[in-house]
Amino acid sequence: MNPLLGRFPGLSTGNHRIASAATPSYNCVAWAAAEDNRWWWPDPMEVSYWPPGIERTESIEAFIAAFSLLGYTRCEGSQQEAAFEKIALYLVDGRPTHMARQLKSGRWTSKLGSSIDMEHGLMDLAGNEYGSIVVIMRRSAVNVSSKTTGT
Amino acid sequence: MSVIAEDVLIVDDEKAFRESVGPAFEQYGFAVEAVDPGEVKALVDRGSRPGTAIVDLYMPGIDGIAVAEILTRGDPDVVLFFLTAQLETQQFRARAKKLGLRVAAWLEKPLPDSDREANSFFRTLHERILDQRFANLTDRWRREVGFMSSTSQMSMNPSYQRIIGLGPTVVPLIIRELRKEPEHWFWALKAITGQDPVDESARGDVDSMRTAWVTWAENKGIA
Repeated sequence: MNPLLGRFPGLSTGNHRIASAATPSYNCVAWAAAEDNRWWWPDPMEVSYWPPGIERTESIEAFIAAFSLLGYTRCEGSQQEAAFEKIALYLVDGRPTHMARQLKSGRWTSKLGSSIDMEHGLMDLAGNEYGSIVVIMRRSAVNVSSKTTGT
Repeated sequence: MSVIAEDVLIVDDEKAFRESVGPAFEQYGFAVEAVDPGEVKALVDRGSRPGTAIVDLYMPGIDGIAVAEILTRGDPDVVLFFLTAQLETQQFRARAKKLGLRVAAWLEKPLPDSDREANSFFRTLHERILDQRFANLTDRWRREVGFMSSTSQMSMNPSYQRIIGLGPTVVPLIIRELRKEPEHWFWALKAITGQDPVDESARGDVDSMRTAWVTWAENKGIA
């Protein structure tokens, strides 16, 4: 049985696509920032990458500040807008757990911890593991590389 | 000899063995409780969680595998050894595998009685216990944090914290794992050693961090 289905009740056999093999080299935050070569997290032990100058706390504010450096601003809806690239932040009890990035198709791409990365619907990963989507941010798609737009 | 004080539960139906085995183990740093197999269920029901169990295989009424099942229901991470004077263990090994029991070693009875043999036996026993405990905790940690991105949550996982709690003796085992494959052992290594050979510019770069720690270990003479 696909272990993802037991952990994420919103996933079903036909509603997601695994896009890469498992690797501990990068995580969902890196992938939301269009990187696949380092692990991002604001850990106090300072073992993970976190943008210099941004507070190392597991808070909405720290994540918004980190992605503001990449040109993202907070917005309301998760619906696709052709001129923008969007990211989503999932939280459990106010604590960030996961991030996803919208593809040109309108679907979302996520790296699941040290596991695989996959294409999915935004709500498919909501639940006990990652909580709910609380923050959506967007930036202009102009001058964004093909990699970050998910082509 | 390791300085780790290790709780060991010995399960054997022979009263003479139970009464004689304690002093030898205690001399080598173990705190021993020796019980009859009939006492094990009550022990587990009372919440007793021995870190290590050495269980005789051939016992009347309830054999060693059945005892191990009871013990692992109480604590799936108990480090298990089986003990036997019999050469034939194939059927037991097959049952243990089928049940998913993680067996650290199959020990021969009688236990060594000369000092030289005893030194070697107990040193190996300490090493096997550490090795199996690390393997059990690592397996559980991997299962529980595989989908997490939070370095903090991954590192605060109880199994990971127990690995950190094993102290400097576990560093060679972590380095061994890092040599095999990249993984998030960096928090544990920093916490245990108080050192950080990773350049600030390489934070989060798992491959570079792995190389830095393996090189650090080589320079320290950690095999």
